[in-house]
Amino acid sequence: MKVNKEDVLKIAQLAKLSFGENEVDTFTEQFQRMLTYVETLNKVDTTGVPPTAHVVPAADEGAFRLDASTTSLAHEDAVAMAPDQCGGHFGVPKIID
Amino acid sequence: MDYEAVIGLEVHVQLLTKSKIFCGCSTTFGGPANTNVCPVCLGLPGALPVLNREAVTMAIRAGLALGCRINPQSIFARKNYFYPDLPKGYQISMYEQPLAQAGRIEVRTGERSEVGNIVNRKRKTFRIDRVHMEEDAGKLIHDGSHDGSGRSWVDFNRSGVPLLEIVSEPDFRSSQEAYDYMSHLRKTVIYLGVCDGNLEEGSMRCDANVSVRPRGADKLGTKIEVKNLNSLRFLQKAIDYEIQRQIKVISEGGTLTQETRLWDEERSSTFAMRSKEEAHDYRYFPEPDLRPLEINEAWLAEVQSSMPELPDTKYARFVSEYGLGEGDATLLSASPDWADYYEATVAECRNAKAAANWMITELTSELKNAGKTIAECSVTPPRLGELIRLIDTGEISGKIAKSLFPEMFSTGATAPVILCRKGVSQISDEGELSRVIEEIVGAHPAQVESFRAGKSKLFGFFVGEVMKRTKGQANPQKVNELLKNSLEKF
Repeated sequence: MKVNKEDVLKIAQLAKLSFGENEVDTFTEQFQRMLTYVETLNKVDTTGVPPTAHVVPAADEGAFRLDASTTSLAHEDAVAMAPDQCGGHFGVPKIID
Repeated sequence: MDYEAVIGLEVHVQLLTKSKIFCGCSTTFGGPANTNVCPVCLGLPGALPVLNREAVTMAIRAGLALGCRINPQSIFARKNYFYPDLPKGYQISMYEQPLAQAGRIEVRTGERSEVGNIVNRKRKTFRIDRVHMEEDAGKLIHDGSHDGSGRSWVDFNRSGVPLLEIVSEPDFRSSQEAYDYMSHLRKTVIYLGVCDGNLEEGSMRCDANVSVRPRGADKLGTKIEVKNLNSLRFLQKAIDYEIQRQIKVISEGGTLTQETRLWDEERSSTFAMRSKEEAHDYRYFPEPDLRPLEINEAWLAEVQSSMPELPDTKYARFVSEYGLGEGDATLLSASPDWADYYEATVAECRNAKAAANWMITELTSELKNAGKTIAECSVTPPRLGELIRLIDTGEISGKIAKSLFPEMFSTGATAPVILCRKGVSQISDEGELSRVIEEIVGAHPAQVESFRAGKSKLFGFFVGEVMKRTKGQANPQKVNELLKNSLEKF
């Protein structure tokens, strides 16, 4: 698969990242190298092997939690590391919809 | 040109579990911001989700009630996007292998006439595409001030509350059908005990996909998603508005672009969201932190055996078992609270018709005035049943019963206690009643004459006179009996 500049810019936009022009070129080249590396996997013959979603088997009874509420974080601890907070809320840049 | 609308609904249902879907934080609402949070639902590094078994059980219950096939294996997936109410940068949802698929439900619907009533009533089957589980996001509060502080505030108490997403096929052709489907769905989840069905408070949320096409065309028109529909009425109004708007654009030669629009109740119109739609690419992939979910036969059987009677079955039973009319049966089967109250009252008084009448008239009006729900009602089914029994055995008249009811409702006292307290008691004493009757018969010789000459309608006149004289306290059955004897004596 060939990676071009537009692919990198699209992914940067989805990841909310912005780069300078030179960096885009660098990433395009690096993305290409990574994909070429991963494409090695395509050489493996997977005929007759069902696709799998997970490396461990499906959930058994032990994989669940019972529906009981446990103690949550102390409120001060929950917001302690937030760079911006007020009235117990986390502050974020204004969202306009 | 004649156009037809094609509508599909995506409904989010908040499950009534005690704890969140992937952590033990409480799902209780109304507490101070960020008090029901932990590393898992705050998306802190290293925290791992563990699935709440009860949430799955509730999801299976809903899937079965919607006639779906429950997949033996479903897979949680990460849906990636950035929004401040989503702390991990992805929502754990289901994608390629949802919990349940290919359902269908039969809904009582019809067409809305120009004056607003429902005509051409019929039953129509709507198909369900899929039902999947996911986690809710936090809540954003937008700074109302315009001081340029430029911030929004996030409360993660709701983050991680279990949700079901129920996606219909595009089977609705009118806002009325969408309304009836949504209201059927709401009733169903309430009956199943998996959701409180509160649209205003967001425990049930609905998005509508609306498009129009020339009638008879196969190809679908451009799909517009409409959000912010937090009541059944808004849903109906928004779809109606959107259909008309789209028809207008097309018939004037314009083109529609696929977009998301919000319903604005104040302006009674929809407007386009300013978000960049092209930036959406969720990059779904299986959630590596959760193993595939396997629902075996035993679990399925366990849920199947605990399925409650669903609203439509109850409705049909109310009609056949209690002889209720369609209107009464609809009202009384509207919620499990009402239906249970009704059945408990009938069990007490053995008078299905009277129990229905009392609930639909007196009880409804008292609840409405007091702003209470039936679950908060101080007149319990045994007490209403007792009141009805007192009328049926002739101990009090219907009129007195009605006069007692508001006090029963406001004080929670039983009918006999209030009767005793007020000194109101029925006059059943034959001697006393006979004396009153003789006086009345003696005072109206002309009417007695006409009655005996065959004007039998006058009987009611005499009953009325007796009731007037006894201030409505006479036992009506006794009055009938004694009056009949007295008038036919000669």
